[in-house]
Amino acid sequence: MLNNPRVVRAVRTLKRRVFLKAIAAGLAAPAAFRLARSATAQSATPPKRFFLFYMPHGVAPEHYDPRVVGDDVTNFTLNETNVSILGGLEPYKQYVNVYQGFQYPGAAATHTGIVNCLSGSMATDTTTPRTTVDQVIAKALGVKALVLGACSHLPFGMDANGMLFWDGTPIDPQKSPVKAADTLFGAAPTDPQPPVDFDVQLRQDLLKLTQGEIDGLKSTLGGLTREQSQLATHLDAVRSVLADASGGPSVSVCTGKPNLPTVEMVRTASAGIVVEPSGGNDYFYQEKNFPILLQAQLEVVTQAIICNAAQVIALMPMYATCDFDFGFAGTPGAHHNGLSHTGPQWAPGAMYNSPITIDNFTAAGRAPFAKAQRWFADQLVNNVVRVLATTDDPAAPGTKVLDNTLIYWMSEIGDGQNHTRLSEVEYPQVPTSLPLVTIGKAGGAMKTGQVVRFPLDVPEKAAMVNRPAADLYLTMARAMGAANVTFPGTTGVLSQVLT
Amino acid sequence: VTGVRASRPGRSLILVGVLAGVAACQGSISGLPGETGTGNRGGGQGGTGGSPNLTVACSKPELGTPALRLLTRSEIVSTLNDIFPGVAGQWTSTLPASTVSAFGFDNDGSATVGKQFAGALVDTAQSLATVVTGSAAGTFVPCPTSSPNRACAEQFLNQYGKRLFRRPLTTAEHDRYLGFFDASLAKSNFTSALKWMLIGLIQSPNAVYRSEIGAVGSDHLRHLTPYEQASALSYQRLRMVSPATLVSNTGWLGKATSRKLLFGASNSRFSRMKG
Repeated sequence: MLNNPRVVRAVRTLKRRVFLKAIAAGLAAPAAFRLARSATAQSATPPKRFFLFYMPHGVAPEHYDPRVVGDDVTNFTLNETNVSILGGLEPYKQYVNVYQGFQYPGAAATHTGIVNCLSGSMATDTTTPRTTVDQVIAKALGVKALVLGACSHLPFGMDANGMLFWDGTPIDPQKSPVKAADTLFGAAPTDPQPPVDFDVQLRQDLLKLTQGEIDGLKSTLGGLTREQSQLATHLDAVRSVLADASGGPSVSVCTGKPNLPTVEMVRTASAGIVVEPSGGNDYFYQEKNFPILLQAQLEVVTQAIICNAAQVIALMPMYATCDFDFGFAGTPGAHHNGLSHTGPQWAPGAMYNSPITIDNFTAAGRAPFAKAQRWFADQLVNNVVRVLATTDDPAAPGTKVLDNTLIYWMSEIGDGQNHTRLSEVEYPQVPTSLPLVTIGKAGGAMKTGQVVRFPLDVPEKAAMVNRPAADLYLTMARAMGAANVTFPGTTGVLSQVLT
Repeated sequence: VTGVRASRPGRSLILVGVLAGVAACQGSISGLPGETGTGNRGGGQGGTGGSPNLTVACSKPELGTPALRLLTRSEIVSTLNDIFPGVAGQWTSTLPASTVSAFGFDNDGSATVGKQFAGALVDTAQSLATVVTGSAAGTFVPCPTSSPNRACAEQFLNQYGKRLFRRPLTTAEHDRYLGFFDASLAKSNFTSALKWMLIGLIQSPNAVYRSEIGAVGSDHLRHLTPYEQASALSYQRLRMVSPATLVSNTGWLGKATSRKLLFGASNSRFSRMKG
């Protein structure tokens, strides 16, 4: 096949294009060559992509849980649970796993566990270093994760409610889909001999100088352990930036810039406005712009996955405790204090010794909250899942992009009203699990189309029988090809999920 | 008490009353947003709003502790605009949002430089330095770009290094940066070498941390240097480096003058910290 002159020419063209784009992205020449080689090697092993999608404030289990037929966890429906938050995934359920019986270990007040739920760490402060699953996978794959947000923290700064993603320290997501798109799909250089770029080498030299400067300052602070620790963190950060130059970002292998109509709408509406995360309350923080910002970010995500322009992506729509009014989704009310805190209504006759079922809560009680959460799920399905499930993978002929992708959909709590971090049996006998879902086959590494169940118990005993969510993180990392990573508190991979 | 919680989260810690260095008397604040409910079943309103309860656990001021105070995002931007006036809008800050502590402050002493911040700091510095040494070189570079030389670079280093570090460079720092310029010049050209030297100054720990380390005196206490005092007063008042009343191009005002400007009277406790 490779003897075909057309194929040889095409491979050369692709290598050159990827190499030039890598150089333009600031990579050193050796890394750019490596990337160009990997781009042409992808036909043999399709690149796996990982996308983490957060949804704030949990769910109402009576509108979420799959209906499983008997004990057959592969025979289930997603659209027969009242409002059916997961209903949009029913046509794609052969790609879906729903996980029950998991916990985020350790106590956390209401939503404060957002700072540790993706890392396996039990630290609830905002300074203890931790690393979230998206970053762990990205590091293992040698790529830089793309972290996006839509109104993902308060306008005046990032408090704990916005600290979902961590790479030692909290990560502030890129809140402009325009900026994200331009970074990923910027115009490719056409000059086959790009000018010598002193910046690449001098940047490396400077970072080494800065390392020495930090180390020198640190050595002068004898006895001041807090400040020395502060500078040690700084030093590690600079080392990581320096190391990035040899790993670098993924580079789009698509020809030309993809069509991004929603991003262009945002570009027009926000012309001249730069994200100002220090109190500007600009376009990118305003409540009225949240829906279009999320849709634009999802548009970027989808095309980045298709083009393999970003191999690992994480997206945070809204921050925990955000009270945006969901009238735009047809269910008016403040999302946090209004909708998510709505108490469930017990079904007539439901008691402490009733058979365990989500039907011990009425559907009407929390339908408005469930509609809001279904809106999130539908954004994911309509903007991402549906497209990836029907798009041929340009890097792997004969497969769909979703075959080679792993999407992880989660929230920081289980029951929105009760703020559960465990999967447990609520009174009166209602099972509730953390909403954890994967979609996609990760290049054939995932066994999908099942409800993955582990035991639940009453709140006092649930922690002893639940599996830690970190076991799922470990499993997803393995599926993505990150064989040697670890997470705090794991008890092992989920063998029934890996092929 | 050394501070009060701002009227809304995200404000900088403003020292009031007796300024005893930095954090001194320990107190507690309860009733912050989202605090209600504990354990795995918060069981209620995470909540927002309400008035925090302030409790001060000491009856008299205490000396603070030394600190390296990372400048907030807005402080860095204000500082750079202040030092390089006239080019605002021609460069872009990609610095991430400053983190806001549990007490609602974005400038407490625990803030650290993570990987994202470190990377964005280089990018932001590069954006500004490209303008300063490029289109605005006529304003900031003290020699014609048609006849650049090492002395010009050294003059630039001394002038802007002092402003960015908020103190004169030490001999070792001067030599290190000029050595970097020389090495860079050997690999590139004058503009690139000058630009990367400036990027280094902007992202230096001496620039991005406001030092409240001081020096140990004969009384075994740490005393802020005059430069540290001037910086503290300047940033606490205006969140920027050089309001004309505190800093001029020719030098720094002494601590007594600074103190008088701010308080109208001497307050020696300001400059002392635990040893």
